Amino acid sequence: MAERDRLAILRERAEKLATLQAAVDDQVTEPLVGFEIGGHGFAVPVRHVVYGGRLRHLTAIPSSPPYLLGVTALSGHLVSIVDLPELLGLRQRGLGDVTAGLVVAHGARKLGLGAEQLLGIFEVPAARIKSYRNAGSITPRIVLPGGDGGGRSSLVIAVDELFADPRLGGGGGGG
Amino acid sequence: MDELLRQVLPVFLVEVREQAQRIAAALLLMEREPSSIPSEIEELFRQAHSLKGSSASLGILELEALAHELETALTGVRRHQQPLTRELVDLGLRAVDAAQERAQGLGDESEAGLAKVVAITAELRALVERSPLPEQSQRSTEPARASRQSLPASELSGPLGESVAPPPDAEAPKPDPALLVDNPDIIRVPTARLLDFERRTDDLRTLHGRMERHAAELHHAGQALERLGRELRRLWPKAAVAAGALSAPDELRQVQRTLRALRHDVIVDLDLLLSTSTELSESLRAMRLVPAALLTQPLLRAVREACKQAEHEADLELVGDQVRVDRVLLEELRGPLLHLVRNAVDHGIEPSAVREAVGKPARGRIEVRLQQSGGRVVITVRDDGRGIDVAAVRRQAVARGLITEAAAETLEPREVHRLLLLPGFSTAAEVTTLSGRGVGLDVVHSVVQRLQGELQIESQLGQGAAFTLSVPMTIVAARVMLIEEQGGVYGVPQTAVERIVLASPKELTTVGKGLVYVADGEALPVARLSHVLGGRIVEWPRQLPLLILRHGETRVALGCERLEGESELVLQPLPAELLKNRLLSAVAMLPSGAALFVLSPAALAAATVEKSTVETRLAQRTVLVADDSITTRSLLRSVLEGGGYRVRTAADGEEALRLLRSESVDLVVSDVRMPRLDGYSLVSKLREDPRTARLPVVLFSGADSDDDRRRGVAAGADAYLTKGAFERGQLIDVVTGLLQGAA
Repeated sequence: MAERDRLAILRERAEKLATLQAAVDDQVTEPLVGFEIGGHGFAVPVRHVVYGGRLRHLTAIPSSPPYLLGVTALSGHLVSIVDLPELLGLRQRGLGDVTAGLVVAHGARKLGLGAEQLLGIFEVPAARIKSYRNAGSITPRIVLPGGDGGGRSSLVIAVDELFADPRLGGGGGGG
Repeated sequence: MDELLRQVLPVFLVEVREQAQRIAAALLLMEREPSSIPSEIEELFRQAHSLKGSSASLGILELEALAHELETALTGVRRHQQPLTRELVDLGLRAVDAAQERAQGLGDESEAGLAKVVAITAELRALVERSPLPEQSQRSTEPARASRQSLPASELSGPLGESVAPPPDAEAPKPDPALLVDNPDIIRVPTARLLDFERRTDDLRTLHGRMERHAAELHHAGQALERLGRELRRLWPKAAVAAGALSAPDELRQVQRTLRALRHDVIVDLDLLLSTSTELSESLRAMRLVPAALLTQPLLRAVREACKQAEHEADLELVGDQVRVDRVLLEELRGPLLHLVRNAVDHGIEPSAVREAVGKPARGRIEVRLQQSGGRVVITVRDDGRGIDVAAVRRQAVARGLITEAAAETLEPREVHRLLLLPGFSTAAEVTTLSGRGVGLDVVHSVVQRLQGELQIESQLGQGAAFTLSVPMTIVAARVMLIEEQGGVYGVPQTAVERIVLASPKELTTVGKGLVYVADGEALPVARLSHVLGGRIVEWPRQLPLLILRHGETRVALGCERLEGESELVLQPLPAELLKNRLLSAVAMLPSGAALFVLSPAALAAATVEKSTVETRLAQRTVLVADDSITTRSLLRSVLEGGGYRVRTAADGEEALRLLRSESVDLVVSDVRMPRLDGYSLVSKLREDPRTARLPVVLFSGADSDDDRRRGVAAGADAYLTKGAFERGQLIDVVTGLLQGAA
């Protein structure tokens, strides 16, 4: 067999394998909860969420940084509510009412993420999230249904990194 | 690990800990007081038997062997054939430590502690072999009895594979009934679970608060029905009434009666709910109180170890060990007290020869005294050692650049003592494993402060030193003074409030650059709570409540807008993300479901001293923000205060009107869509009143159509901004422009 033919066969085989792998990767999805605040879209993996809904009482924290909106009670425990755009240094677009939130858990700790609107649960191919992360971005972006153009670009929050943020009482490595 | 062991393990861990503590306590007491040996050795053997039995029943052979060898090693003492040597006590203490470590390793399903247990078992065996009793000179090769009844003979061996014989007079250890059989008299509950249970009872109070509101709504509904009924009776055809037919008004009356009865039942149930949840809370709280005697053994061991390392001699006495303290508090105090007694041995107690040369007993004396004083526990650690060398502390402070030499000379001795609490401060010539790193006292101080306590130091050179910790009896519940300031309600621990006075600005005087209030002949620094919390300087009203706070030796006067009374609240620790906020010490959940932050007296005192400036009295322009969204109110407040304005807030148009009738406001920023009275109606009402006709008003709305803007202007607004295009700078520009125009 000529070298050229052999290379062609190997190339074709490699392309087929890559397509097959991509098809397999796309079948593995991760459910994410999407929400909006400050004109930005965010999403967190469902497995970390312990509560999603209306925030009953939000008490302001005296002398606190702007990324802490306040605290609320959940099953007798106090949960701090975080303003993600403020924490991530994103420019706030417009002013809305933060009346809802998601509470995420990591070990024994819980944190609340303030939201103006909860968008729902979306199944997203896990490989797509990983690909952004592998590209070096801490906060991968995906597109969730919604928004004016039929899709809302949302930041997927790495919950373990959020809890590790020293500004939120973590040991470091986050933010 | 098999399932049975996994299920039983948590109870076993607790029991091993208790048995280890009792064995250690017995060893230490026998060493200190040889006359106690006859009774204490029996207690020790009882505990060792229990440990051996329960370990055997669970197949934890290494612990069984350890307990067995400990019994063997102490048999001679039990029979009065051998003395209790220091080596034996050391080994016994190490054995119980190893047992606890191994038990913990079993809980983690790891090998942790196993090697240590095996090694110490071998050491115990070697000790026995070096000084055997007559009948122990030849080890029996018979397998040990009793404790191994359930095991085949081939498995009857120690951890090193050797056959082990029990002491001839050992009774058959019985499996611990609490471990293998339900003991109906005892239930062991982790402290964390009690704490969790207590927090859940707070949910009951929140429920109570909500149901109270429902009862009030029932009452309003009943009143509305009554009005409706009156109207209906007026309109209902008289002929129908005369005919005796059951009429709509009659039916309505029945509904009213039903509602009244329902409301009455709800109120009765509410009272029952409140009393039940209160009793539940109090019972749970009482369960957590434990005698301070639990500290005896760890303190004794700490002194013993410290003396061994420092080659000093000292005795420890614990006075007031029957005082009952919150379990959580006791655990928090354990570390600081251990440090203080170690410090006393290392820095305080002199070598025996030195003590005798100055006429002191050869053995030093360390006393830990606990007493209850009001709602506080007061613990004093006192030694009769060399005392604190104030001159050395001054020199060290100057050498470290903490103060100048001139300033050092002016410090009173008690102020010099406080220098010891600074991080890294140490006068020790060398660092020992015990102390001298200057790490300990500042950590003790910060723990005490975190517990809302105080630390006092007294000393006389050559006579000794005393460290006194004063902390609230329980950190779970506390009486707090509720104060309102700039729309927020906060708690201040009542123990920190000396008294409350009503003061006017005329009673505040200036001393240098500081603002002071004179109380009992002392000039106290004054500041407004809003300023202390990092807000802008606000104007003082004609009469202002001042809280005279005391923290340690610092007294300050803290001004607030209103006092909301006193309340006993169940406190929760702050979550990790709030721990850096030094102004906060704890948080409580109110019946309404809102959180109340309890402020730290130490931080309040320090911040009041720092913020008491003459500028506190300067006047500012005031902006009223009316919006039903708390986050919008908070955001606008921070923007406007950042722009130099004083801000008042209202949750709707009605509240805004009420506020405007009692306070002077320079401009209003109002949302449009609000309950009770919307923004358009608010503006209209303001324009109808001559007092507010010219008051600048900015409408701030989510609606952005031309019609909405026209409507706002028609109502009388001076500006219309939209939330969707919100920019902080734009708001400040608009507000500033309007105020300049109005001036």
